[in-house]
Amino acid sequence: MNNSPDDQSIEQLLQGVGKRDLPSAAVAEQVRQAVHGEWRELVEQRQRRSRFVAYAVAASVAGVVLAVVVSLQFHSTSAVPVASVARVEGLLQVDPAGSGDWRPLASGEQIATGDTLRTEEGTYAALDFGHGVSVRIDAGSLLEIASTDRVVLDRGSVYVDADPRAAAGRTTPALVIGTPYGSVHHLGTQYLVSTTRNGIALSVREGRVEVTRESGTQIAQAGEHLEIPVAGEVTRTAISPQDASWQWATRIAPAFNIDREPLTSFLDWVARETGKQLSYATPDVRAQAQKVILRGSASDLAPEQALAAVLATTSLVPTQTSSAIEIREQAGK
Amino acid sequence: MTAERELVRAMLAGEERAFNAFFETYFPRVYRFAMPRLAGDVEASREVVQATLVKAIRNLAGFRGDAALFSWICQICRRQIVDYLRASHRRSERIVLMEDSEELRAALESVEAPVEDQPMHRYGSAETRRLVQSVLDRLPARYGDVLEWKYVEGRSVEEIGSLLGVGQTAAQSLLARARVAFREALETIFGSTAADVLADMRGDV
Repeated sequence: MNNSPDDQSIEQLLQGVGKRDLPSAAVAEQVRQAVHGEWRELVEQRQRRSRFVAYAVAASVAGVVLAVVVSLQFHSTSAVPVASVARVEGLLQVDPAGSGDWRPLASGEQIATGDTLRTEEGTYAALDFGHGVSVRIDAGSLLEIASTDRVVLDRGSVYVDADPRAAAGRTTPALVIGTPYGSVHHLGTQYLVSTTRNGIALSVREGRVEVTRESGTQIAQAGEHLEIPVAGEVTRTAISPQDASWQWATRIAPAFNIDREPLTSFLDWVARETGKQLSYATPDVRAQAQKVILRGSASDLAPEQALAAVLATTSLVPTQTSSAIEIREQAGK
Repeated sequence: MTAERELVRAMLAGEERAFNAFFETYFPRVYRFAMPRLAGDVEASREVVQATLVKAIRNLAGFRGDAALFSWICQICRRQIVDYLRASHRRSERIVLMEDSEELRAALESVEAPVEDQPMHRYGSAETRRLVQSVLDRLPARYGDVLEWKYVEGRSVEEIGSLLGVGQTAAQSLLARARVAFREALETIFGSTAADVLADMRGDV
């Protein structure tokens, strides 16, 4: 023990101040799991890139130039455009390089890797990633475009609509939604992922989704809602494709460009966006819808409004229930 | 290469031991940084600290060592606090602590710098306690832990060495360096000695 007066005063001062507060073990474990998951993801990403560079170096002489160009692109820190803003309701903001310098984003503007996006309360937005992939952002969300195929959701909710027909034959990787609690992978689907107070919530409207976490993998099927806590049991409940929780995503759906499209394509889009089953009263009605080629625009309308507006110009009418749309011929026609 | 840059390098290389050291060193410190700024709200602090550390991990490759790692993380944490308060509509509840003033912030971020003609500050007892705890969190290496183990928990030098995985001589040496760093930091922040700060805290002067 050092007994100089100054050391004694240090001892007395520290005893007077007392021990610094420590977060509870439960909080520490919860945060640790989330941070550890993010760290593992980072390390794996870097290792994948390193392997890619190693393969490039080992390539034939003829391929060297190409490989170097590609690997340089891989390592480039400059932002790569990955999506565009398809629709905004309210104020969507972007922080281009984590600088804290937020600016508003309008429809049609590009989104690039490294961008962080946020929506205030009352703001909803839809991003178009191409190849039939649409990401809708709920109010009060914060997310980062980590790479061309990875969006990291820090807070809030996103709805992903990846139309399998549009993705057919595509060779690029499917979009992954990362969260501090795990990553969500899909193949041709519609789902909603949200951060919750102690984990994530996942609802699958169509298709199949895989959630990868440190503690293992969970598969979610269409019609399932999963509550996935950091620690503890995953709970599964049923969710209808017409559940009220999908409504905001349907309302902010990117417009369907109807011009020169057959009516049947438009009706397929409405059915997909609303989660309803589409049927035709008779084969003749279907054939009739197939022959109708639309002209004009319904870009400012939500799917169900667009349905009413478009069918009003034809001899067909919809009959809707909470889960289905039937198309039939107007009486007297 | 500084110890902090080496820690970052090892983390980027995927060394589990480095991640553990990072988390054990910075999680409690960042938590204590966030907690008073969020009015002691445990859930809010957890959320903000988690978002801060996730963001820090994501940007780890960009850490150049120009500032101390803890200061760098605190910068991220400040932004996360603003974002959290904005998202939860608690803008009006934003708390600005004494150490958020530019003058004190600069001093806290350079606790190793020699004291020049710093003005003598007088703080209330609770503020003094928090400032001293902030000083412990800002000290380099694990000086803050070592001082707390020794003088608050009353651990022996042997026990401290064992906690750090070093021998008794190394622990003794670390403790001596920690005392020097703490003394200098107090002079930078308070412009006075430990005895004066203690008297101030007790209301003796």
